Parts: sequence; structure tokens; C-alpha cells
Amino acid sequence: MFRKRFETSVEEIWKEYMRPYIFLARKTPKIEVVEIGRSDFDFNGWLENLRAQKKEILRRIKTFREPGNFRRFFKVKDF
Amino acid sequence: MRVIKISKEITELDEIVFKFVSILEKHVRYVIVSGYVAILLGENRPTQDVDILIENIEKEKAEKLYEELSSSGFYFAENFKDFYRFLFELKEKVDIFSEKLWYFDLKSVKDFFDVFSIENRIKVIVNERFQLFISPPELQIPYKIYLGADKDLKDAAFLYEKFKEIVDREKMRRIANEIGISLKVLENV
Repeated sequence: MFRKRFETSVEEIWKEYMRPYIFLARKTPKIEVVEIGRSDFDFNGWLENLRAQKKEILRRIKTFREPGNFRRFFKVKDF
Repeated sequence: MRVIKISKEITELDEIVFKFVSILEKHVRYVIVSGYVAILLGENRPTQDVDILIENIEKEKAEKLYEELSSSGFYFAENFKDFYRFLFELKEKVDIFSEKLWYFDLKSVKDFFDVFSIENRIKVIVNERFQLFISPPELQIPYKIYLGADKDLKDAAFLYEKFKEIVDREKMRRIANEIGISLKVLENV
């Protein structure tokens, strides 16, 4: 299984795991948007704070996941 | 706040979740963050647990929540003292069991991801009868891709399609960028 994971490509992941779920989602009943309220949330301020803290947050998440997952295919530098 | 409505056939899992969150919302702001969000919106996949994030609250409020859940058919592995210590002081997940097969993983706000989820939560009205709060797709989708397991990628694709109408793409892209994830593969659909 790990061999397969390391030999696969982003196109294969897209075809095998993601595309079918896009089509499945289209088959389910549509959501009805009732309200798109205005938000006072300071997104830019939040993003700056996240920038300062993200290394620690992401390190913590990483420790709970097995090696050989597909994350590396979506890393920005790969595109 | 964004509000959406959905219609669906209510499952046994939905019933347990609706019962749980109807108690939760009396005491604390919460948001459902797990794969259950995709299940609620129609994805057909199994799950054993429902992850819920709550804001930090004082001890007295937490005790009332603990008592009401205990007297409503939910079970804790810890007494209240340990429940409070694990959840709010040590910031660990706490399991709360139901009479059925599913259990709830409760965690309290501890970082900027969590703050974003609580402050930008989406209200979902189900069958004009039940209501619950789910995490915003702007964070949920890049986060799931970051997690990277196959079920996470499936959820990410599913949620991307479901939330197409209400997602703030610019914010989602900036969050994805910040955590080093490209959404190009989804955006080309």
C-alpha cells in the first residue's frame, strides 16, 4: 500500500479520490442559502496571527498522521 | 452569520447529533468540525465519532453542561473535575458516549484555527426543524487536504462542491497558501 502511495501522482489522486466525490455531491440535494450575513471578523488580523503560530499548529497536526499520506501532492511548491 | 437550509432523511446518527447539540447550545458556542459535516450534507460514508469544538467557558457553566449531558443519556469516562481539567486546562479531547454506536469528541478552542472556526461558523437548518453549527469551508477544505488521508481528500472534494455558492474563495485560497496547500486541482473543476 505504501509503495502505491509513493508512486501515485496528483492526477491519479484526483481521479481516484476526489473527482467521484465532486459528482456525488452534485447528486445530493442542493443546499439552500438563507442568509449571507456580514461578518465583523478581522480576517487580515487573524491571518497575521496564524502566520506567527502556524509552525507550531501544523507540527502538532502532523504528529497524529501516518507517513505516506497524500499531502505532499498538494504542496504549493509542487505546482 | 451565514445560514443554510437542507432537507434530508434523518438517520439514527443525525438524531443523536441533534440531541447532543441541542443541549450543547444552551451552554456554549460550538461548531462541528469532523467528517460528520460531509455526512450531514449527504456524503455516504461511515463514521464512529463526531468532533465538536467548543469555546472556553467558566467552570460553573461547564459543570451545568456536564450535568445536563449526564442526565440526558450521555456518558463520560471522567468525573467532572477531570473532564474540566482535560478539556479546558490541558486542552485534550474528551470522549462523550451515547447510548448508540457513536461517540462525541469534544475539544476546546486552543489555537487560531479554532478561533476561525467558532467565529465564522455556519448555521444549518435541517428539514425546517433542527439546527446546528458547522465549521466554515474556507478553513475546513484546505485543512482536510493538509491532513491528506484518502477520506480527508474525499471530504474536501465533496465539501468544495457543496459549498460552491457560499464559500469565500479568496479567503480559502489565502488560508490554503498560508498552510502550504494548493487548491489548484479543485479550482480547475
